[in-house]
Parts: sequence; structure tokens; C-alpha cells
Amino acid sequence: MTAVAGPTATAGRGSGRRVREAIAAYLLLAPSFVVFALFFFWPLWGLIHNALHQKNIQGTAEKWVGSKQLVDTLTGEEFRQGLGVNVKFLVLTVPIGVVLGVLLAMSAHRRLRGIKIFQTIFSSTVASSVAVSAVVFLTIVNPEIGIFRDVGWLSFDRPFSALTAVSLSSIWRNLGLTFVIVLAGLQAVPDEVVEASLLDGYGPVRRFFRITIPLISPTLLFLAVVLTVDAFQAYAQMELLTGGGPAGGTETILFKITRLLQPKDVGEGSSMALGLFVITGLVAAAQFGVLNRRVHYGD
Amino acid sequence: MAIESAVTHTDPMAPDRKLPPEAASPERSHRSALRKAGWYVLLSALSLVVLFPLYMTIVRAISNPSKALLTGGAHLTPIDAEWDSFTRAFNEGNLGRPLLWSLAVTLVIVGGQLLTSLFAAYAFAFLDFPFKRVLFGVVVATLLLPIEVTLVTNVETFQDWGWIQPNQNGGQAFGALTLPFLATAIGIFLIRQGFLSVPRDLRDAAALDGYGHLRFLWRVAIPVSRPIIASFVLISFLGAYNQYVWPSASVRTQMYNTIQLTLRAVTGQRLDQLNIPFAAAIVASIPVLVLLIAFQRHLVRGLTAGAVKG
Amino acid sequence: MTIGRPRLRRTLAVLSIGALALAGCGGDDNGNAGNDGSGGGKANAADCPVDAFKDANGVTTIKVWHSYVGSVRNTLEKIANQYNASQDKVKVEVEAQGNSYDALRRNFEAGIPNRQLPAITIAEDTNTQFMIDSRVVLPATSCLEADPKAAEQVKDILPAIRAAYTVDGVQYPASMNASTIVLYYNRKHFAAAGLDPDKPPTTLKELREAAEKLKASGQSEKPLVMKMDPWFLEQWITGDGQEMVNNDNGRSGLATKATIDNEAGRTAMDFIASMKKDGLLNAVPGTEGQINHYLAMLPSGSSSMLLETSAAITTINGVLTGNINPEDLGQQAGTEISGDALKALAGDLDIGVGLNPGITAPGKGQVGGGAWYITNTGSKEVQSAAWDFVKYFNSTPVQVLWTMEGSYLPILESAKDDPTLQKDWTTTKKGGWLATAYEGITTLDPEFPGPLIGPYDKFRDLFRKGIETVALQDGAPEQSLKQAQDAITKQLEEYKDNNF
Repeated sequence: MTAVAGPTATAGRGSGRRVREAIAAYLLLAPSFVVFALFFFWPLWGLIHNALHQKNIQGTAEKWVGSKQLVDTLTGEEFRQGLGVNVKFLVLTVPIGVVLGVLLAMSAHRRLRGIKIFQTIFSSTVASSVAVSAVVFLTIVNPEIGIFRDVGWLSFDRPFSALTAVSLSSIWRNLGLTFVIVLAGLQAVPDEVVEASLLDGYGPVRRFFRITIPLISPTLLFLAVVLTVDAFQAYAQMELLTGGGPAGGTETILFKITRLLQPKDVGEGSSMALGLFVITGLVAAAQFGVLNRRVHYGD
Repeated sequence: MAIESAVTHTDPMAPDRKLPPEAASPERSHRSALRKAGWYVLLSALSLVVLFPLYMTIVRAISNPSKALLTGGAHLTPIDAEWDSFTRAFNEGNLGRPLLWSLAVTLVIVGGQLLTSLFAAYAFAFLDFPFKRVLFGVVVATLLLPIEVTLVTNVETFQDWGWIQPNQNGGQAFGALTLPFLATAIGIFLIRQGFLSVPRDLRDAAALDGYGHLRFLWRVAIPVSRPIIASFVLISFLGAYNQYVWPSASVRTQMYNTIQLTLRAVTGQRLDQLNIPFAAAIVASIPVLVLLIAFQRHLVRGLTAGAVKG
Repeated sequence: MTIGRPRLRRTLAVLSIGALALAGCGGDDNGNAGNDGSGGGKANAADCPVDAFKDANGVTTIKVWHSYVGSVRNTLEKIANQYNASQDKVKVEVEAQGNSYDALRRNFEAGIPNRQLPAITIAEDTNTQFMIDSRVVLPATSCLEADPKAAEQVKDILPAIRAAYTVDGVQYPASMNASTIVLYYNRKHFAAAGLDPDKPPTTLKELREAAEKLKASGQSEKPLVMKMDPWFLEQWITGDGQEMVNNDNGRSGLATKATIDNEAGRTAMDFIASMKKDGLLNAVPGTEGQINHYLAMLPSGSSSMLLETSAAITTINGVLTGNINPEDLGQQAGTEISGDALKALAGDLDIGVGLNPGITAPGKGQVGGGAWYITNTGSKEVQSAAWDFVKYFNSTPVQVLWTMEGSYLPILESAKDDPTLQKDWTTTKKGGWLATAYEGITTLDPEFPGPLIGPYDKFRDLFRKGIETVALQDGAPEQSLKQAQDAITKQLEEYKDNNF
């Protein structure tokens, strides 16, 4: 993007005009940046401050503890347990999510009468929020009223099966989004490439793995990153379905953070939040980096 | 005016509804019909799977709750279905108020985001100023700081202002629910993308005609980018309406629950009125479903904005 | 180091000067709370302005925070209305802060830094140490010393209860709501299994034997049902005379080590584990709002015996007689259900109530329920008005009303001896149950009133996780107990460190 002369044209390009343009720009940016400053960056600073201090139990005073609290929290039992839950949840939801998205999109990406109806149906779960999808899945996995309540690997009695049950609700909720995204990727595949492969006699399977997947790999990467970040921010579905149980076995990091909002707990809560911040950033970056090498851009 | 008419004929962000090319080889008609039938079967099966949880929810929502309790609560088909159980659930569960409250909060957030993003995107797309790249970097950086990360200290901020406290009143709750979301990097990105695609000649023509910034924004930039702006409005609505984390941390009085929080409040409350949570879930989804069906194209474009290259 | 936000800093500066002045009269604090006993220093009669509200211009309004629902809430509001109508200097406003003691505690804690506190809060019994350390409580002893007539009023308080809430000679709460654990059992099942329906089990051993007989005779699949709540195990451990934390169970100094991995603790955990293993125990997760353990006692359920709080007596009675408000059930479980639906489900249940079976003897343990604390952050008028309301609450007629309609047990002998109460207790089924429960709290040992633990919420949380691991995931009892103990020890140390 080149530096563009503003739409108002005057003969001279004097510094007065540049100053006015800059002022106009800053004025236009001001509203957004005020919000960013107050509710994005100031809180980040606050997190760091909280993590380095310990408040007393009354919440009325604090003392400097340096990085001890941060280190202790992030290497401590609670955080590691929460991280474990997030990772397991990620493993349960991301690969399946991507595969199902591809399955749905491949099925609905063809010339058939009424295909639009199917496309609308497949994308419909976009309308359900985390809370809605959790309540919806009460009908399926809840130990009292769910139709699958007797299914062993969805039981709420054990942490992993409870987590599996929660994952179902998230996978379902994400179906719409993954479908829409992969479909868009499929639609962007250039005709010429597909036609060429048909002329070369590529069967459907070969076409899928040799042509389609590589060509939509940027889309799949994007999808994987979106689902991964979503998995690290999981909280509401656990609260509504399992309450974090059994024995804290489905408590994600964010779940634990929401229980650490009291004045005497903000040091610990902020430390965990910083951990979450770094981890999410690292994972997204790593995913991007590693997968990027295997992703096929352009031709 | 020439410029205005030029604007209405430009739609650089029209989505491509491309379907795959047909196979080149000739097909016998019956084999083709068989294959088509196969696809329909597969698609229908997949649709059933996708819709099944929704079906279960509707079943529970319309079943007679006391009878349902007696039979153990886990049933696949409606029990004594009554269509007015919806209205009754609505009234018993008091679902109208949180729904309106949610809509009000959402509209304010969407409006705020739209305004702030339009201004900021304009600056980034059309103006030149010192530290432009740095400031753009700052915008990108905010993507790393979602409310999930900044929860603790944002709660503290509002506690210091006295807006999050046990005797929270409506104004404080509304402020807490909306303020942190009045600006967003996504809006700035999307709208800037739209602005950047304003054709050079239009810009030059406007410059020659002496258009001021605001006039250019209103008469040229926005109309040209209307599709992408519409997409942004939709995903902004979706995001604001479906929020759970921040409302659960910032609303302290049940009276000011959003509809998403109400789901938590009514779930597990009355054992003999199990239809209420499910009716609530359906009620909560209706506004978004309506938008989805009415504006599917724009919504799709907004959701896929980062996914597809070119 | 003070909090670095300008407005707060200024406010805190003003407040800390005030607090120092008050502290000057009230004895030491500021980190010394652990040195000489776990108390917050001596009580001082001068701190309690008994009559200040009488000299005020106009009406003094005070707020009372609680977390009750259903009939208890209704009764509390009724009492407040009666008080308001009986005089015109004080107006009491009762405010519910959520539906659980936990929600109430969180709101109270959140209000401490900015001094946004009510005149009176009704906190859970386990909060005693924290309330002391919060430094925002006006000890009742100060007021009792300044107001001898009031001291007369409560001189017949049950010794065990007074002992539970008194630290270093200072009684902190101004009034208490007492409840205990009782055993609800199905008399018909007992008779059919060859057990005497008038002789419920009194020890864990007898409990197991009864369960075995009930299962063998086909009366119920999992005869004993209970929520996996640490409260039950705490009762067994304290009832056996064993300490759960060091420093004399936290009473001679702030506790710094958990000691739940003792003989009684192991017995209790083994009991849970073995009962579960042999299919005799229906272990219900300890999450808030659970009601499944009640449902298990219905004819359609699978249990014959339930361990739960005595505060559920009026509710359960209501269920069986069909006279229940959905909200009353909501009090126990946060879940409501209509009386008719429940009656249909209850059928012809015949429930008996017995004392909580202990490790060696029944009914022993520590007092449960809630306690009324007056805060010292309000003006003199507010504090004195609060004291006046508490005095009203402690008067015999009000206590009788509180027991009969609110179903907490009477803490004053004079209330228990009231003729109306006695008539109810000797002639109605529900009254008989309450009498049994009351017997339980009279047998509590004043010399061993239970632990004082600052971070009781974390204690319960960690203990609960250990119990659930054993009951729901076949974890090894000894290991879970030890792990819980170590984790709790860490919390205790942190609490002490952070009490600066």
C-alpha cells in the first residue's frame, strides 16, 4: 500500500497540509485507540503488575513478590492440570473438527439441485453460541436426562469421558464455521487446475489428496489455528455441562481464572492469564510456522 | 453525479459462488442418476446428524415437563407435546427481558464497533501520517489480547469504578457489558480492506471535485465497501450476542443477565419444568438464525475473510 | 505498599487512619494475628456504641446480607418486617446475595477493599477465622461487655456453640444459626430387611451392616446415598476427637499444617471407598445445586438411607405431606419442583430420622450452619442499630419463630423450652425429627469445638476433590487423603503469609 494523497486535493503539498492530515488521522484513530488503551493494554499491564505482587487476604494491601508468584503458579499443580485439560480438549476437538468440516464441505460442493438447502443446513450451527450448544447437548450427554447418559465413554464420573462429552458439544457447534470456511476454500480452487486433473485421468481419491488438499491447505491451516485458539479459551461449555467436575477434571485454564477474581486471588489469576496469553500466542505461531512449510501457496 | 453512479456499479467484493466443473468424461444417464441419488443420500444423512441435537432440543422444549420427569427424563420423542409450552416456558422462565436486554447491548456494541472501525479504517486506508505502521502494529497486537486473557484486570477496572459490585444497577451493568467492546481490530481490518479496493480513478475524481474526508467517507468509501461492511456488521453481531465469558464475570445482578447468562440461570432450576432451559436455548438462537438465513452470503464472507487467499 | 490507583490510594489513606484509630482500641493486628492465638486481639466495650442510633436524627437504615432461599428467607424477612414495625429508629433491609454461602462469601470478600459492606452478614460457620482476619468485624464480646442486659439474654446459649465461635475469650458473631447432620432412613425398608425401624445405626460399622442387610434383602440397590461433601467427613473426624489442622486445630494460633491424614481421616476415607466398592454407596458429586441424593430416596430411587443436614427437615416433611413450596426445596438444592409432582413421586414413604452415625458414637462432630457478624466499617449509628436488631433476633419469641418456620435449631435453652416449640416437638413427626437433631447438638463437646481454618473454601475444595477421586474414580483412599492434606497445608501456609 503506497502512501496515498488524500482525497482532498490542493495545489501545494506543504507541511501545513501534512499536519492537518496527520491531525485528522489521529482524531479518526482516537476512539478506537482509547478503547484499546483502556481495555486491552492497560489490563495487560495490570496483569503483569498483579502477577508480581501479592495482595493480602483482606485485599487491602499488596506487597512485591517478584517473579516468584508467576513461576510458582505456572509450574504449580492447578495450572498444569488446567493446561492438561485444555490440551486434551484440543486433541479431542481440532482434528475431528477439521476432518468433519472437510467432509461436509466436500459433500456439499457439487452441482445438485437444492444444494443450497444442504449448505444452509450445514452452516446452521454457526447460529448457536457456546451456551446454547452446551444446553442443547444436555439432551444428549447429561447424566440425568441425556439420551446417551449410559454410554461409558461419555460418562461424567471420570474426567476424560466427561471431557469427551463436552467436546461433542463444541465439535457440533463448530461444524457450521468449519463447513463455511472449508467450502470457501474449495470454491477458490481454480477451475483450470481441476479440469487439468480430470483430463489427466485423476480418479476422485487421487484428485482429493494430490490436488484438493494441497490447494486448500492455507484454508485448513487457518481453520486449525481458529479451532486451536478456541480450544484454549474453552470455559462456558464446561461450566454449563459438568461444572468443572468431576473433581476439577474438566476445569480449563480459563475456568480456573474465573474462580480467581477475588481480591486475594488476583495475583494467581493474573499469572494464569499471562500464561494463557503466552501459550495461545506460541501455539498459534508454531502452528502457523510448522504447517506453513507444508502448505501450498499459489502454484 | 458521476462519482455516485460509478460507486453503485462497483462491487469488488462480490463473492464467487463457484461450483466445481463437471467431469469431462461422458456419463450414461442412469449411472449419473444413481450417483446423484447417492449424493443425496449422503447429504441427507449428514444433515440428520447435524440437525439431530437441535431436534432433541425442540422435543424437550415442547414436551410436557411433569410427565417427562416421571418417565425418567431421557426421551427421544415428544411427550404430550403442546405447542403453547413455548409461550408458557417463555413466561415462566421470564425470557423476554434478557432477550431484549441482550439485543440492546448487542446493538450498542455493533454500532460502536462500526463507528470506531469506519474512522480508523479510513485513516489507515486513505491518510498518511507519522507512525502509521507502528499504530497499525498496535491494532494487530490487540488480537493477542482477547477478553479471555484480560479478564482479571478488566474486572478490577470496573470494580474500581464501582460498576461491578453486588448492588449493581442497570446503567453500570450496561456500561460494563458494552464499553470494552466498542472497538475491534477485526473491524478495522475488514473495512480497511474494503476501502483499499476503492478504485484509484474514483479517488482521484473525488479529490478533483474537492471532496472533504467525511463526504468522501459517506458518499464513496462506504457505498463501495458496503458488502464487506455488511459482513462485518453480521459477524460483529454474532460475536457480541453470543458472548458468555465477559457477561458472566461482569453482571452481578440477575436482573441484568443477558440471554446467554439466562441459560445458565434456568438450567437445573426447576426439575419439573425441564422444558424451560431448552425453550430458552431456542429463543436465544432465533435472532441469529434469522440473520443467518436472511444474510447468509454476507455472513459467510465475513467468517471466511481470513481463510481464503485471493 | 499500597494499591497504585489514585482514587483508591486516597480513599485507603483516609480509611487506614480511621482503622488505626479503631485498632488502637481493639488490640493488635497487622500480621500479629498468628502470634498470640488466632484471635484478632481483645474486645473492647468502647468499640460497641450500643445506643448511638437512638440519638441520631431520623431513621438509621442497615442492610443484612444472607444467602437463604425458600422458607428460611421468608422467615428472615418476616422477622425484619416485624422489627421494623415495632420501632421507628431503625430500618432493616434484608438482601439476598446469591443462593449459597459461597456466593455470599465472594460478595463479602469483594466488598472488603472498598468498604462496601453491609451492617450485618450471615456467613457460613466455617468462615470464622477469615472473618476475624478480615478486620472488619465488630466482636460480639465488645457489645456484650458494653450492654450487660443483652449478655443476660444469651447466657443460656449452648456451650458447644459458644465455644465454636469464641477465640481467645472473644466471641465474634452476635448470633448463630445451628444445624447438624442427621440420617434420614426408610422405615419400611428397615422393617422388611429385618432391621428395627426405631433403632437406626449409630456407628459407621452399624451403618455398613444395615446397608448390607438392605441390599441383601433387595430393598435397595445402593442403600446409602450421600453427597460427596467434605462436611460429612469433617464431622466424623472432629466427632472422633481428632484435629484436622495443627496449632490445636487452629485455635491457639493460625494453622499452618493440615493433619487430616490421621486415624479418623483414614477410617472415614476407607469407609467411603469400601462402601462404594461393595456397591453399598450411591456417591453423588458434591457440586452445588445437586438434588439427586434426595431423589434417590424416592420409591423410584435406589437408596434407603440418606445423610444430610437437619435444615432439610421441614422441607422433607413438606414433600411427604405434599405441603411444599417449590422454593422450599430450592433452599436445599437450588432446584425447585412443584408439590404435586413431588407428592406423586413420594408415594407412601415413611421416613425416620436418626443421629449422624459417628466413627465410635453418634451425633458427635462440630456445629454447622451460619453466624451473624456485625461489621465495624459503618458509622456508629449503623453499628449500634445492627446490635439492636441482633438483640431482637436473639429474643426468645423470635428464636422460636426462627426455629419453627426457618428450621434451624434453637441455640438458646430458653427458646428450646418454649411451650409452643415443645408441643410441636412432642406431637408432630417433623417436630420429633427436630428434637432428634437438637439432641445431636447438645452432645457436642464444648472442649473440642472443631477447627479454625482461614482458607476454609480452599480446604473444602481440595478435600472434596480427594473424596470425589476416591468415590467416583476408584482412587486409593490413603493416597488421595495424603495429597489433599499436602495441598491444604500449602494453602494454609499461603494464607498465613498473606495475612499482612
